[in-house]
Amino acid sequence: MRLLVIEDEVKLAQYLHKGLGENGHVVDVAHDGIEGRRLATGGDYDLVLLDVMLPGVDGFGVLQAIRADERPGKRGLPVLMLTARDRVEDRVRGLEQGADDYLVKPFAFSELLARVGALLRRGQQAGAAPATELHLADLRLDLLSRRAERGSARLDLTAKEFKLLALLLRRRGQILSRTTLAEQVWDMHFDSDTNIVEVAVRRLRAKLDDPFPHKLLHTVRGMGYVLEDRAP
Amino acid sequence: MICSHSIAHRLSKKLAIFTAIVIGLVSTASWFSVAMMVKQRNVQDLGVRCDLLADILSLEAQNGGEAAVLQRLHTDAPMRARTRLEVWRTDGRLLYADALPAAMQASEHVRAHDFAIDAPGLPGGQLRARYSVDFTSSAQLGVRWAVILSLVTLSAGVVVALGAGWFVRRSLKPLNLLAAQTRAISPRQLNQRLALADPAEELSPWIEQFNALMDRLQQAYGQLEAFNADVAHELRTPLATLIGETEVALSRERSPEALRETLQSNLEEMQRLSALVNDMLFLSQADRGVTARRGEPVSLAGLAAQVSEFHEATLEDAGLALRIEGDATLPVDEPLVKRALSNLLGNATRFAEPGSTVVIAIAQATEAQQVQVVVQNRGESIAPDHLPRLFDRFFRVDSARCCEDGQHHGLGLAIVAAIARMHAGRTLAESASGTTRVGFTLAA
Repeated sequence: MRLLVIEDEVKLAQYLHKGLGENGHVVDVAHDGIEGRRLATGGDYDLVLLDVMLPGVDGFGVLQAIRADERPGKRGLPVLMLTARDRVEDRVRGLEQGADDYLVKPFAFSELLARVGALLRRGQQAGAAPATELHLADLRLDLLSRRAERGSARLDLTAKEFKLLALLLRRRGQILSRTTLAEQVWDMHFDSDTNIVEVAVRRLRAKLDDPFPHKLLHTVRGMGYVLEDRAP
Repeated sequence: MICSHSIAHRLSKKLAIFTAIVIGLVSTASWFSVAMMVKQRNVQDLGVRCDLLADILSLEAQNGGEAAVLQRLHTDAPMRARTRLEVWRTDGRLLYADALPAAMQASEHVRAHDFAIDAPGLPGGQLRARYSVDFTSSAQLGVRWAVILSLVTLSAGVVVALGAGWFVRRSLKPLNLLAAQTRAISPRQLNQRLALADPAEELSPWIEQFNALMDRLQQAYGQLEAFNADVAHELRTPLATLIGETEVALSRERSPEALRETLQSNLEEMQRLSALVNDMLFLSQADRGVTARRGEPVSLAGLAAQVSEFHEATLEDAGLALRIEGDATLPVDEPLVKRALSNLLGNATRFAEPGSTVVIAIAQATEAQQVQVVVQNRGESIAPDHLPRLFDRFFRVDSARCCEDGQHHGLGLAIVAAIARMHAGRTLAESASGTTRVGFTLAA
């Protein structure tokens, strides 16, 4: 996937370039609004990461140019806004002007990766029927009957635990931060007490992994959780 | 004193003008009334003297005819000094006239009175007479008096101006004193207050209000200082850990695993810092007066149910049951109210007795148009003197217990208070006989 990062903070842009590059994306970086606008409207990108505060033209100006450039029939270029200003007005303004998502600095890289992944998937899978069954190793989730099984054993999960497991399973291999989990599973859109998600994950793990020798749910210290079938 | 204008100067000027106008008016009125009285008196006087002359001359005419009248007029002439009597017969011929006095020749203030004298023995039975009197002295008196009154008016104005200026300056002296006292107050000496040895009724409310303002300022300043110190402390601890860990890690060759371990630990620490900074940013927004973005009316019990699902695991871990009582439907900022509820529930979970029930109670608040949301738990009571400070930033009832896990940086309830404020509500906290109720109100 080709990504364009428009960010004037050199250190942040560098680490985004490195981090996203290592995650399989081709990344171009623009350090000001004018260059960013030129690249975004001229190049063929799958997603733009756009800072709000930029020299030359600010993020909103770049966003306007991107949206004005779109022709009917051409798929909209997904734009993820980055803002240092934790201001509701900025977020609302960004979304109103056609941004697809936003992230407030400072953000966790895992969080950024998850949102980038979600936006790219949204572009690709439009129209594809969602799976009703999910598998990983001997774990099987039936989303319709809400049954979870490991091997032949049925897992006795609460509704939220099922939702949590389904999310982790759908994004298997991806590190999901506690903030992402709180938002996606419980619809809690704020910096919550991280302890709450930890306890919830611990209780899920007690049912999912504790009785079995092969562990699926892993903690990535400082970043979040990942569900994957690791070689023993 | 650098002033755009002086109160003393203006007051004394105005008072002087006012006094001069009043005294001037009174003087003018009294001058006119007295002048009129004098004039009336003179006219009356003239009438009386004419009547007397008529009586005397009538008697002479009766007794001795024209000769007796003439005799009488000549004899009495000295008694009519500075006046002039003229007498005519009925056919118009002059019978007698006093010599014209010198003063009367140029005078403009001569008043003449014509009258008839009964003279039964004379041809026509009557005489006509004119009596003229010079009132120049009266007029001169009037002029002199007018001058005196004008001088009195002017000097009264001047005296009042000087006197008022002096008095006003004297009365305003306390203001200079207050200015000097105010000048002495600085951030280092915020405990100074204004006081006057001899307080004036007009200044007392002003001084009281100023001192009350200073009380509030001092308190706010104190809180700010404490807050800064707390923030510095909260930031210093994780920063020190970060610096130390990184230095140790770099001090010698380490395996990738050991370095990964350090980075992970650092990441945790930095996320803690980031959460703290985010919370402080949120509080500063609330302080700046940002208000809640209210959406469609929602059921508060519904929000409480969502939040309790979020806390399901921690509640079960702590062996607690949860009950939601009451409901109200309000337009609120959903994420904010959920956040406040989550913070309250987290707090209640930490301090509740194992095996007890935590209650989220939604009810009409004591104020009209306000709904209160209270989270109640059983557990050790909070000391009454701690209750008002519960919502202060970084305030911890039991600092030792809270800091160990590093999860709770002491802003949770301050955020609840900020969210209440953003909804035009307030906080409430009570704790007695093992039941603690902490909550907030929301304006409808």
